[in-house]
Order: sequence, then structure tokens, then C-alpha cells
Amino acid sequence: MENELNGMTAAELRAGINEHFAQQQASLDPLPLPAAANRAALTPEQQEAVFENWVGYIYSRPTQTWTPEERAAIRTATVRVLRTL
Amino acid sequence: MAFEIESKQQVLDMLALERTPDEAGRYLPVVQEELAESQRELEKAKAESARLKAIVDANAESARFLASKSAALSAERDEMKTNLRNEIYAMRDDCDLEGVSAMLRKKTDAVDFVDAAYSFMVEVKAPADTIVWLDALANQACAEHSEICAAARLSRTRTIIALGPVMESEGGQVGLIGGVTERLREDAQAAYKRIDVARNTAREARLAYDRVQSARVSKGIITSANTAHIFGR
Repeated sequence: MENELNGMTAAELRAGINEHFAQQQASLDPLPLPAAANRAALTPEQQEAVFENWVGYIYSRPTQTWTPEERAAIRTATVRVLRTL
Repeated sequence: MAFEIESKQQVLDMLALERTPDEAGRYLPVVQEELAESQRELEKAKAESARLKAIVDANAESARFLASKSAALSAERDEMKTNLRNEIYAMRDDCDLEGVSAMLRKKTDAVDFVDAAYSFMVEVKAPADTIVWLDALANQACAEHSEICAAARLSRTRTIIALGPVMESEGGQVGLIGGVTERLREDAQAAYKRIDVARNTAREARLAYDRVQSARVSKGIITSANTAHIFGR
């Protein structure tokens, strides 16, 4: 028998978490993110490409035109990009 | 935007952004060239260290050869001495004294020459070449430090550029984490310590060399060879 939390079963919780991550991933997908999560896993050329692509993307539109969803996704993505710089 | 503070340096980074993203953009080609230049210098320093290390290794090989040659020649000379002595005992007036002593002299000269070459190698050439090699290693450590510093500057500059619009969108309320930059700075500190170690090693080798040279000068006056000459033995 599965435990319950706030009236939700463990299966429902797992499904909720998975859905959250899927949404987060979907918001990140359009962004030019590095294939690997750290600098050591990238070649110098790949690091260069990450920087160029990211800068190209992030400077392409004025920040005032970013939607709240885009802004949230960019916040999350920034951390990932910074790990490669 | 929430950031986790992992070190004092990060706090300083957040408090003091040394360049605006625009300035960082203009500065980027300079930093890139600095890194490229420091990498070229590091390669040159490594090549020089490798070249000098080969000389140090060759010296060790030559010293081993000279030591073994000296032992062999000394044994030959001692054996020759014994044989020639026996020849005089046996032949007396018939013995070609000048001829045999010339043979012995030739062998003795060879022993002396090899001994002098060995002494010069282990007391002068090898230590001097080792000092030059250690100096080259210190230079290499400096070049490594410069290269890491340049990489840290590039990382920092890129971080500022990459964060520019994010900072703007957050109303300037953004601090820089720069985890990679921070690691590079730590590496730079470690590299700086390696410079100290390398320089100290070279300095100690130089002092040891000076001591050996002083002893060599003193010894030069009172060697058995010199005393034999002075006293006409």
C-alpha cells in the first residue's frame, strides 16, 4: 500500500513531478543550451559555440519583450550556460 | 534571482562588477588574445624545459659512463704498473725504462683525464645544467600561472557578457556566480604556489652549486696531484 502526502498517492506525486520537469524541459528546449552540463565535458570549440550561440540568442531581442515564461526559462538556462564559461 | 554563495570571492564578485556587459564585450577580443598569447608562451616554456631536461638526462648518462670508464682504466693502469714493475725486476738493465714508463704515463694520463672529466661533470656541468633546467621549470610555472589567469579573465568576461540581458531584466539585482571562473582562480592560486616551489628549488640548487664550487677551489690547491707536483714527487 502506497503512502499518501497531502491526499496524493506516491504515484500521483511522481506523475506531478515528472510533469513539472517535462514542462521545465519544454521551456528550455528552444534555448541554445550546451549538450553537457559542465565545461570539462566540452571541447574548446564546443565551449566557444555555446558562448556564441547563447550570446546570439540572448541579445537578439530586447529584454522588455521577454515573456514571464521565457524569463523563467532563461534564468534556469543561465546557470547551465555559466557552468561552461 | 537566487544564487548560492559558495565562497568569499563570489561575494566580492557580486559586490564589485568590474565591467559592464558592454565594456566586457569590447574587452573580449583583448582577453582572447591574452589567452592565446599565454598559451603560446606556455608551449614555448614547456619545449624549453623538455630540451634542458634532455641535457640533464644526457649528463647523468655521461657521468655513469665516465665513472665506469674511470674504474676500468684505473684497473688497467694498476695491472700495467704491477707488470712493468715485475719487468724491471726481471730484466734490470735490459729493461727499456723510458719505453715502459711512457706506456705507463699514457695510461695514467688517460685515467687522470677521465677522472677530471668526471669531476667536472658531477661538480660543474651537471649541477649548472640542472640549475638552468630548474630555472626553466620556474619559468614554465610562471607561464602556467599566466595561462590560467588569462583563462580566468576570459571566463569572467564571458560570464559578464552572457549575463548582460539577464542582469538588465532583473533590474541589475544580479550577482555573478562564475563557478568556472572561481575554480580557475583557485587553480591560479595553486599555480602561483608552484612558482614559489620551483623558484625555491632553483635557489637551493644554486646555493648548493656555489658551495661545491667554493670547495672545488679550495680542494684545487691541496689536491694530492697538486701536492705531488709541488713537492716534486
